[in-house]
Amino acid sequence: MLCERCRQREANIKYTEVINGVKTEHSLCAQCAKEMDFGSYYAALFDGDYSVGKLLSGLLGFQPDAEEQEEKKINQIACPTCRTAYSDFIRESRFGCPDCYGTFDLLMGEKIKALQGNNTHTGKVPADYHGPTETGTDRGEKASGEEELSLLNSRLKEAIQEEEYELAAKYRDAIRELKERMEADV
Amino acid sequence: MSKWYEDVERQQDVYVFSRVRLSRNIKGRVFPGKMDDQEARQTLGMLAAGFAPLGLPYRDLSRSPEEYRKGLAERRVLNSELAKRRTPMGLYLSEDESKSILLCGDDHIRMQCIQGGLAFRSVWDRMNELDDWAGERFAYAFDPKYGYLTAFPTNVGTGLRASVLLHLPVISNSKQFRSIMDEAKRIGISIKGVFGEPAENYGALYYVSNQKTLGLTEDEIIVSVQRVAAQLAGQERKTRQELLKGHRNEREDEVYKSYGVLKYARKLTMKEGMIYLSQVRGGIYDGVIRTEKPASIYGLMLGIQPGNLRLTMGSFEPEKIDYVRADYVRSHLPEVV
Repeated sequence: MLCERCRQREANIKYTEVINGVKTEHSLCAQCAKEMDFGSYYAALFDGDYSVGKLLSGLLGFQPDAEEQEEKKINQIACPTCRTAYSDFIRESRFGCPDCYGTFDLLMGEKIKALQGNNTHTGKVPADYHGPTETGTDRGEKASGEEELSLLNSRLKEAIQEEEYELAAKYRDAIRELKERMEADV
Repeated sequence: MSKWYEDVERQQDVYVFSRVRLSRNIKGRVFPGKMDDQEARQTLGMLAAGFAPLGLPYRDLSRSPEEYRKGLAERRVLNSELAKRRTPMGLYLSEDESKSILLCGDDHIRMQCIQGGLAFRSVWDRMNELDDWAGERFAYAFDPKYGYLTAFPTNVGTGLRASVLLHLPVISNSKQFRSIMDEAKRIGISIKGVFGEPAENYGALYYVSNQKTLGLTEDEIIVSVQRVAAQLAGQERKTRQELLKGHRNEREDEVYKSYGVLKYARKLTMKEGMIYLSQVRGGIYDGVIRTEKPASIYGLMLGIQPGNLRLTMGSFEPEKIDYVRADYVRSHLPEVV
């Protein structure tokens, strides 16, 4: 069916108007709906490549379920050192050990930024702490270690996004090992 | 030895005290909240031994009586949450109570330095020195991105909380005060009544402190707190001067009436005590009333709180507390001339 307003494009929005008990049905295309300044929310859905299937599953409650499952999996991610699970952190808003910051970095980084307005320390540094690229002689090796670290980090992020939690755990362990090695090198 | 809050010389009209706290943790150890009793005892022993060379008096808090812990909370050495906790916890506290090191509280180490008046420079210097000293003995949990790692993400980074306590009896009554509080929040500074919301914050004592601990240097944090405090103090002073010019008689009446109640009442509630002491404190600094000897009214404000009353006045039945408080104030209030 063609859009009743422009009569050019296919109508993909059905709009039912009830005024004083009189029901009128309109069939519009996304663009006209947008121009008439109603249903723009629906229009946006049809504009892009948002599939109808996805919309339906959302309406029927499949979507929240999937989200719930994802949330469940994320909540189960736990710090290998102190066993604090992500859900524990959310509940108590406190970490269990220093390693939690590394474990939950990807999940928490943005939240910490929102909370603190920033996510990078610029203040005092302990006297015995030497930054990863401070000494000149082994800078090359450190850089490669850091490259590897950033690669592993991005893989971990991908794995979490893809919900490949077993893989994510492997990357997480590899990152920890690498960090320990790099620290031992200092 | 007298306590820092009894030192009248340092206190100022609006600035009651300046305080800095640093939270630190030890690398490779879980935070105290995750420790079982044995682990906590072992960590506490290790930390206590490490700080022993400072020669400060030490106290095992889990074995201290409840009123002692409550008194500490009222004197701002502990927070009230920690005062109730029964897990292994230790405290190094200097005789004058201006320096304290809490072990196995929320974090492994929480150091605090406090001094009367506006004194961030000297307070921070002392704190920084102590932190450097401790940093040589303990391997701190530190991350290049997140800085000093703490149990609460609200402390991570510098681990620094800088606070100044202000006495704001006049401007805290104004309609604009709430919006000043909101405005400060927007730039990352919190203004908070010691007893809560302005309408219930009897005594008009307000903390100004940094909300953010990450992404700013220690100096930047201190400067921002100091700047907001200076704004408030300036406003308070200006308004008080104006008030005094136009309404000196009313002001005198208020102050002397308050003094009279404190001096002769046989029963004083916490609320009454705070309100009248606040009036007298303001009156002293405004030159409306003069005491024979300089006296720390803030010290009295601490003294009338339940835990401290129990420590100074011995044991008494709970329902007698308002009588005991009146006794305490009568015997500690300075004479006027």
